[in-house]
Amino acid sequence: MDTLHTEISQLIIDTLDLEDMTAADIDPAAPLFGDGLGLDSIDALELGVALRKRYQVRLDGDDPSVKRYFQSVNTLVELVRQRSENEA
Amino acid sequence: MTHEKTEGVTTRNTTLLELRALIPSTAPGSMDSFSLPLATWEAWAPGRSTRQEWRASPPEALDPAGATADIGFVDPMLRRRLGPVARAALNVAHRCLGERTGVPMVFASRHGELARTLTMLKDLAAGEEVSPATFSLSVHNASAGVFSIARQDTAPATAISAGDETLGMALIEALARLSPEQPQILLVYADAAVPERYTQDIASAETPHALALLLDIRSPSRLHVATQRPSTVPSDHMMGLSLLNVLAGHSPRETWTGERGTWQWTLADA
Repeated sequence: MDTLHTEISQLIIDTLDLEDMTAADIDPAAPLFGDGLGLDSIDALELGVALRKRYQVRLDGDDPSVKRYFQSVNTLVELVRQRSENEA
Repeated sequence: MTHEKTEGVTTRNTTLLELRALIPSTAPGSMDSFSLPLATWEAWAPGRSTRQEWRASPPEALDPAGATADIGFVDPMLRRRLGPVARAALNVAHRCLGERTGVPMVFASRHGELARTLTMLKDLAAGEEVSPATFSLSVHNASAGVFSIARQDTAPATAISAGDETLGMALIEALARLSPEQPQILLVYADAAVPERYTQDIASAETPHALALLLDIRSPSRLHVATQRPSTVPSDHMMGLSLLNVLAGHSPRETWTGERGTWQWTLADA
């Protein structure tokens, strides 16, 4: 895990009030919603707002790729890297 | 009166005048009264939760800050976002209901999660985005919704607020809903400390506390309630604490006066 992985895991914990969890507790490949971390639809919205504030990542709810990026910490890292490269 | 349906929870935005209309109109100075069949009750405030603790001493000097209520029965993923009002409401509701299911509920709070509302207003004023989680749990029927999910209980619930008389109006709401077809009602009242920004706008000192009453038409015990136009200066404590004085046996009869009315409680066997 590199810095961005840890940073996004910590963002998830802080934003979503995940009690008693550390970044190391989140498996970067595990699903965020449903069976994995167990996040819900409000968490998805909250995470969208947090990503926008922190990384200026603009997300369009109608864009089918958004769902793919919200699978795991790994895919969110991919999203943040890709969008920041596009803007660079 | 407006109704809004979300996930089986009905919010009823009832004005004070509409609720007042439920009480038969009488001449100024005369009293209206009704009685409710009380099966059991539970209450919470920082530092006291069991009925024994409430009976041990009158709720005179309650800690205005203190710990939040324990709600270990709620799954951690559901529990993590809940504010102090929801935690206090769920604590007393769960203890009062025990294993019973399908009991219709009345959730009442004067301010709801006012600290969250204030956070959102500040964000809006600063041009920031409002947190979706904060919004979803700041609405007045949030506690009812979370309780329903936590206990997997689809019993109907209403959420009401009516200024400093909120608890009294919740009693009237419960009275209106009790019937042979709906023999039990759980009334839940909760409020937390008011953010400092608002304290100057509120006359009485507010201390966090929550109260749940299980009403059952088969219960022999009666809570008599009488109301009239304000007959004394407003009380310096909250309505809930006045009622708790009677429930916990510290006083056979209590009178409480708010901005719009004087209320009197007594307990008796039918």
